Amino acid sequence: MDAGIPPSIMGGRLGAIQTVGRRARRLGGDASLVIGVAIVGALILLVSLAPVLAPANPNTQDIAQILAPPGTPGHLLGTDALGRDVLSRVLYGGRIDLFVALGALILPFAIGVLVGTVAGYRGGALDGVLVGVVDVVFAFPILVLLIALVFVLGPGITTIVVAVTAVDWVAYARLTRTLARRERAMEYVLAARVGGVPHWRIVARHVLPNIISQPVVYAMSDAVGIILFITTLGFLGLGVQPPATDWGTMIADAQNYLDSNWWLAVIPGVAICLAGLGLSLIADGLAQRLDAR
Amino acid sequence: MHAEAAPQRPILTVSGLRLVADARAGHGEIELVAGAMLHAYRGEILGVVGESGSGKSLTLRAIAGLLPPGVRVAGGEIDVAGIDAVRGSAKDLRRLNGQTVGMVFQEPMSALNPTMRIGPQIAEAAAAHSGSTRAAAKSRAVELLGRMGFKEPGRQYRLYPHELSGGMRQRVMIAIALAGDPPLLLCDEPTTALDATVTMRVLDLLGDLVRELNIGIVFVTHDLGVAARICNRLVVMYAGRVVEEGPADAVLRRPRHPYTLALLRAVPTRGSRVEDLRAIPGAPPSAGEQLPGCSFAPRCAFSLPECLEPVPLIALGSGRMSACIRHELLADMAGRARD
Repeated sequence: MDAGIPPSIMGGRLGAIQTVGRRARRLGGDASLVIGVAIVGALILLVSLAPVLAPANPNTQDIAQILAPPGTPGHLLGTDALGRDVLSRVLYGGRIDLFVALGALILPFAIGVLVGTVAGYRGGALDGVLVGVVDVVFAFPILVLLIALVFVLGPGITTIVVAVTAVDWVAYARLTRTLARRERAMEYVLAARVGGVPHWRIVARHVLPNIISQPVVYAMSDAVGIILFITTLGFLGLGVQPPATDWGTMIADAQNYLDSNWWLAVIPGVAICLAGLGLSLIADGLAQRLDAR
Repeated sequence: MHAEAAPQRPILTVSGLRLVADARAGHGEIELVAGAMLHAYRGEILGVVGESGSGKSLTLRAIAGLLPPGVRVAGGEIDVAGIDAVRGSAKDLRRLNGQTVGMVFQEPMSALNPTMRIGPQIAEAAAAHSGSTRAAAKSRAVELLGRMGFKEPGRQYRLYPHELSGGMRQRVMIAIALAGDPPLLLCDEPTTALDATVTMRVLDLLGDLVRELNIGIVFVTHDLGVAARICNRLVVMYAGRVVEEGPADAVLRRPRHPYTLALLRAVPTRGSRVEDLRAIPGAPPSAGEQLPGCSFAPRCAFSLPECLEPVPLIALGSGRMSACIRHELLADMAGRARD
């Protein structure tokens, strides 16, 4: 922290202290961003390479080694009650969790940001309708609404993405609507309007680039929630259907073995925690970095 | 001055303009501008002066079609180079923007998009109405930057707004406003956020542009010193009304409305002593407050009982108008002061 701050230029101690503080915050933000990206990147890399890395087929049963503890030769993280390799199952399960999360993140983000920006910029009837829809959706407990939707649509990966999109776009729309309304009154938007720049172009080049950072930060913390939601669905048996698996299903299957075979629940649990931690760190780092600007 | 020397068709005519804000919960409407009247000509800078809330900026925004939400035109005419800006079709209004009027805002920081390089911001405005190719729009932007006094326009094209000083940003704003070659430039306090020396250079640039491009400028300001420096004619607004109009020189030296006089007495100049400065007693009427007759009467040192009757703008000859029934008294005072 001490290097690189010429005290003479700072015009006294206060300036120096402020600069140090700002740098520390900056570095703190950068550090969480780096660590977060490292964790999430490593997880994505691991699950992408599951076919190469996994020691066994996740559904193959090794009847001779049922409930083998971690460290057993051939089964690094042990096996479950049916003799399936836990490491392989965590890797393949993560694939489903992370890629479903990606879809359930991008779709609501894109729809919500688009609708929110246009409604906030245009105002009028479209805006009124949006506000009404937002109020209605937010009046429900989100998780209950989601579970109800999944129940109606029937379990499965597509259902998860559709359900999350149907509910979650509202959060992005509400956020960007407010930002776009503020942006609409900015003088450079007025200047572009007087300049005869078409509305679609004003939205694309003047409004969106100036408001996009907040929904991006929100998306990162939202991703944590989505992963938790997917695993919750899996736990409740409404998510991924057997024989495919995900972290939530694994924890659900491990319920009966919590006191005797801890690794069955702890290993996918740690995976969920890591994904959540990594995404939270990214959100935190991004927010601080955008704040500093 | 210019207007007298060459009688020509005005590039901008505003007459009887009424702007109202719709009050909440059906309490009727609040009148913000009550019958503003302006004429602007090519080759001349028309100053619109008045204190905050006098309706000068709102009038300017109405001309550009940029009224804030909730404010609307309730009556009157705005004619910009033959286009009816109040009742014009959507197509007319598109033509109005950029091709007919350009606008320069007060705050050069917020008037430029911080995420876009300055060159493309100018090129975008240039391309918007000429429908020119990207290359043509870019060369037009570079040319405009050069015209605005940028030394290396080709390189500076790629700068971001935060890399420029306030004065330079204001020059970029002017370039954007002029990109569509409009005959009328609207300036909303363009120098208020700048320091004095930079202000002078921007004013000089605007003066040059009026002469060289033969455009008309409507220049809204609350700074009488700035108005005295560049305006050919002045319109003084008070509480949503025009109270005096005339050649800038004459209005500032020999005001014919007590409000103009009071404004001038409140401005420190080199010749005056601090003890002679006079604050205007009282406060302007709040928005929507309806006063019978002259709205300045309650604060006026010369008011008579007759001032509670409505006062029209009275033509005084040589291009001057005043909305004061006692304009002759003021003329006498000014005459004495001159002798």
